[in-house]
Amino acid sequence: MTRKELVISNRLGLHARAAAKLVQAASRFHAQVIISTHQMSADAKSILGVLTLAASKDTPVVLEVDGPDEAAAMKEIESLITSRFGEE
Amino acid sequence: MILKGTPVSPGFASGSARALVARKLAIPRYVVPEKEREAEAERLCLAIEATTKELESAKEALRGKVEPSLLDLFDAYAVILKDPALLRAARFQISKEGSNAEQALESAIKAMTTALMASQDSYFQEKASDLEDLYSRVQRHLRGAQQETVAPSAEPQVILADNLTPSETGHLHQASVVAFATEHGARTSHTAIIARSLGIPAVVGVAGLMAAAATDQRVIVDGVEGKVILDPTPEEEAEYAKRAEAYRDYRRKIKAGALKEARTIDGHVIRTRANIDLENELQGAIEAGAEGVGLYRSEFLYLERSPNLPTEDDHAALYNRICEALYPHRVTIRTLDLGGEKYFHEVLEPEGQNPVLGVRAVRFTLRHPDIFKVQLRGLLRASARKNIAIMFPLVTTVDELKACISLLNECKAELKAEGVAFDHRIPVGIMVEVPSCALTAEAFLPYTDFFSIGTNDLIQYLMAIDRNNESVASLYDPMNPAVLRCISHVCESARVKGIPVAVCGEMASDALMAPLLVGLGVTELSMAPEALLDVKAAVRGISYEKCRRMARHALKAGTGAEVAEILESYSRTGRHGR
Repeated sequence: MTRKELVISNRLGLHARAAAKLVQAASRFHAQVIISTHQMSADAKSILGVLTLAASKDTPVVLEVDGPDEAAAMKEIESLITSRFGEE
Repeated sequence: MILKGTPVSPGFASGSARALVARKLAIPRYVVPEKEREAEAERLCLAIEATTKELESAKEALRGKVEPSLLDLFDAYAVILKDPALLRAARFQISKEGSNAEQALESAIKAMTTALMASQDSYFQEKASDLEDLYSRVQRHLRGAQQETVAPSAEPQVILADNLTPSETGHLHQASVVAFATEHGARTSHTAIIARSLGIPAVVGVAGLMAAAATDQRVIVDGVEGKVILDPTPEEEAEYAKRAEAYRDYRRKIKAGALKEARTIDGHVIRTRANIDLENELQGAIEAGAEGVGLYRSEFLYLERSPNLPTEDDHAALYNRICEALYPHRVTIRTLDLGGEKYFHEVLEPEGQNPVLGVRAVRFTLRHPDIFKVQLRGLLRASARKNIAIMFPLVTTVDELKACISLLNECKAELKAEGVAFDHRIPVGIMVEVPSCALTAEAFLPYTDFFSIGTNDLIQYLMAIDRNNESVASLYDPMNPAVLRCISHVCESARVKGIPVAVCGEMASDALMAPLLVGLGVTELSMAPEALLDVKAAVRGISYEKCRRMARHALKAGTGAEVAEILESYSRTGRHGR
């Protein structure tokens, strides 16, 4: 399992479109992807789960990726978050 | 049987009814024996799979034919349908409690909807009603019920529905579909917009339609008077066949005159321009003979880029393409008229209770010069051809207009310093849609190059009604003398300086009202492209002198009903004459 701490840095936080992008990215991999804030954890393949995290800008999150393709999955999701989901 | 509704797309057609019944399927509830639960869960997965495929093909059928934002909706559906949490919850209920698939789905979707609504995320909140559509689709698949598709047919078909959701609009692209009618919906619904773009008749808001109609029944749709005739008599069939033929004939005739200008019998010329939201409407506007664009609603660019803001380059590129396509005709671009809408709630500024009366349009952009100036600079950069004009929406006081102009001047100075080419004398005008502005129009004269009356909002503010509230919809009356007197006052004021007055609201696209507006002193009519042919024909069929008389007469009326009578009497006495 790989684990990484990141910060949600896009202006709108994990709102619908960013959440959808995260879910779409996570769903491309076999690995299980868990995203957690201080309060709760969610399955990153579930739009519902991700939205209920309600992670706004500057929220620290922990990504835990577990599975055969975990390295690739972590790389992709990390770059999505650090690139602020393509928002400006 | 004759049913009445609101005509939203003109024309006459008859055919065989296809009733798309949005039956509320009763949810069966039973306990599944333990050894069959695995299969029951599989049954649910298959139904979801089938729904996903169905939506995918509906989306593909619509690609390129509708606004991209409608297609986005399908992607949102797909993400929700594939949600593992949804499936887990449903599977859990099946395996642990033995619920049947229908029941498990019902509670899982309900939980989902509740959670999405609670997410404070307007993107999903706005789509709550669409989730209902999604849910009933899966339920239908569980029941093995086929989607009531409209198979291509040699026979003309009329679509009857309760209301058409975006995902159902895929049906409407069969060549055999000649008309449609819905029990609910308004002039601005998807149904209406799609019918007009397809050029087929449609009637919406037909009370009692779905209870009375049955598939394969003969049906006539009268998109002019707003009638739906079920099981017409042979006499009615014959009568409408004649009308349909006459209507086609009429379309051909006015189409032939599309490119001629709207000149009254006695030689008074009225500019007729198009209202446009999307770039892909330009071609239709040019073909319909629009002399430029009288109102380009720039909001779509913002919605398209949401949640980001469009850049100055985005603005400049879009406006350049439009101005090039219409050159040498004028393109009037309205600056951002959002603010109350949910998009901006979420993105920029939480708003109060009544956005219609709150921070929107220039009230919003003046508070956010950083956002406003990006658009103004983009507009200026597209102005080198000198065929672009800027229009500020919802201007309420002269000070607001002055503030807009001073920001524009800042942008001009910046661009000049940067050595960028632009039209130094770019025309600047205002939307007249707030009563305070209409009634003091003369005070704006020193600062404006034109007026454009936005009648939709003007009527709403004059009559103190919320256009989205159906219970006060009957008070929305363009013929109310208060509306006419406001328009008249703006025209009289403009005459002093000799500047143009346009009307760019719904009123301008009504062939019956157009002569009245001309008589009140309006010099330009800007409307949805599909209305151009009719309105031009109406202007060509009457004398300016008669329009003036009609307007003087109407201004003396005390009620909207009296004005309607006056219009009626003038159009009766020699529709084509004098």
